[in-house]
Amino acid sequence: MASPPEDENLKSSIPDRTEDALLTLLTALLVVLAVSQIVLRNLFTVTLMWAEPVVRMLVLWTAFLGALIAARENRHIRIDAVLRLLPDEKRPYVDLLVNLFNAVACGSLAAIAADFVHDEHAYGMRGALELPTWIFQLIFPLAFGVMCWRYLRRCLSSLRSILHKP
Amino acid sequence: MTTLAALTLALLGSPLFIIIAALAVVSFVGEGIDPTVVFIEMYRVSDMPALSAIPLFALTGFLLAESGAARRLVDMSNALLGWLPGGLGIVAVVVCALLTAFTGASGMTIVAVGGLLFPALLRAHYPEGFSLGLLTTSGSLGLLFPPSIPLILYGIVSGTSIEDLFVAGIAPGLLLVGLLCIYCVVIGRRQRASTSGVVQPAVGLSVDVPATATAEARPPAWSALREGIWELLLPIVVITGIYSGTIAVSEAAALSVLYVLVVEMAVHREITWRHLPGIIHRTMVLVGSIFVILAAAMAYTNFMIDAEIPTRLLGYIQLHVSDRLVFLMLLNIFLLAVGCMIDMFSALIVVVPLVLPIAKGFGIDPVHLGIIFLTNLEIGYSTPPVGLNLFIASARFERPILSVYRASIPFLLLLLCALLIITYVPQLSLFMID
Repeated sequence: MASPPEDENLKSSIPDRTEDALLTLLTALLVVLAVSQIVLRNLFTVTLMWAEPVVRMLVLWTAFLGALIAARENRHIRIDAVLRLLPDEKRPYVDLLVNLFNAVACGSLAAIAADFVHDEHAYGMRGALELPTWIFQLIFPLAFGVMCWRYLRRCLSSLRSILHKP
Repeated sequence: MTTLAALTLALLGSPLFIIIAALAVVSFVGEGIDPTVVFIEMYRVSDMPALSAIPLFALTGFLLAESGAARRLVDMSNALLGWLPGGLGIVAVVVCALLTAFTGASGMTIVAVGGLLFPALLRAHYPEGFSLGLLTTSGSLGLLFPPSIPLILYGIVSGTSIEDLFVAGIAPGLLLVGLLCIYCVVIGRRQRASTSGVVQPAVGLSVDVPATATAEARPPAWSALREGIWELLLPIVVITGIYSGTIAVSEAAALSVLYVLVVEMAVHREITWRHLPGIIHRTMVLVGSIFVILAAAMAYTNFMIDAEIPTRLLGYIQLHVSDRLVFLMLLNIFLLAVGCMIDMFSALIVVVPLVLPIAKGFGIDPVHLGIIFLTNLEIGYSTPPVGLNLFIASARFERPILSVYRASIPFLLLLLCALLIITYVPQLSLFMID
């Protein structure tokens, strides 16, 4: 059997579209802010002191949003040399094993990240725009949590293709 | 045991960032350290200098790749260089190098340019193997030229000045391009001799320039130049801006995005507002997948440095290797192997922090090391059996992977010669830096 078609059950849903929209919006904001910062500084010698830290937070958020979309589209960087040599009928078994590990690892990382955000909340540090840092760091548990969910669904679809083998 | 499990999972295709983050957590817990440290380190990534340059230059590259910039660059360089013996081959090399400097090594160059140039090379009676090998190996050419993202990434990871790296890459990059051009001339001469009498249809690559225009090459040359001048100005503006010290790297990145947006949306009108979400999406998926590896590796390499692993490795290597030249040779072999196993970005992020202290122990300049690194990874990209370019080319040109292997060998030999020169003549990289 050929490897299962990519994501038959992962069609663009509401959460998916929310991620996409948020990514587009924040990246656009990043570009606008980065560009206007330079234009203001060089043409009008106005420096936006708050802009630089905000740009950094936008990079952090857009990058992690990109990463969780990469998990959805199975486009994360990985070594696929061995996979290329693998016969097709073995694929679902390997996929199941790997995705199970991915899900467990992302789940544990999400839990650790939640701990981290909780600690930061307790310390009350402040970052960009004088906002508490934990707000920016929320992206960590969020991203790893969503990725855990994504990999669990992949496990299910590998399991399905193992069980439904002709 | 943990390392073995991690290695197995990595080889079975688990994403590298998960492997590295999991290793970091396990290592910290093993030392009795609270694993939330991993996220303290991940958050620190947002403090790295010039960080915003990566998404912004990546966006520039994707915008260029999705517009007709590749076609215009081909037409323009064809008008300028196509008349030379091997001219079309030189065109391929130059365009690939220019485009890859902006698009990084994501296989986009082969996809964007290959479809234009492969049929054109065949029509001009270049041997198929030559054309295939040329486009495959040229797919990562140009990584040494600013503002390539791997150069910026090396600067960020190693704490080396990105401006210095931009200067250092130029001469070695020209060496690689030059060697391939010379080879094109040699093959072009032979091909001209064997097909003498046949008019070489060098022009006529795109719909804009009719194939019959060979005889009256003047007007098409002029219009090709006028069409392509906007994109040609981009590297010039970026590079002078950075070299003259007028703008910082991240500012240059923001300006490039602005410039390309204006050129592609207002001048050429090939990209509309409706295209932007898709382009942003593809860019940020790539950037995000690099960024999470960077974040995870920050935590893990810090653990390794705390555990003094590079120092111990250095001690071990110095026991067996006392000579700098031998060390460099071993480094090259190691990096070539790494380069054909994993992609350039993860290779840089994971390997640089380990190798940098060792190389410093052997008295190698970090800027020179960066150029050695990138040259190796660039070549590793097209090295059988698992170099990424080979698979992209095989899919793009619909040729069996074994013919792609065979076709790329002469080019790889040439590039390896260049690598030896770059490695053993540090002045080539360093002569313009104080």
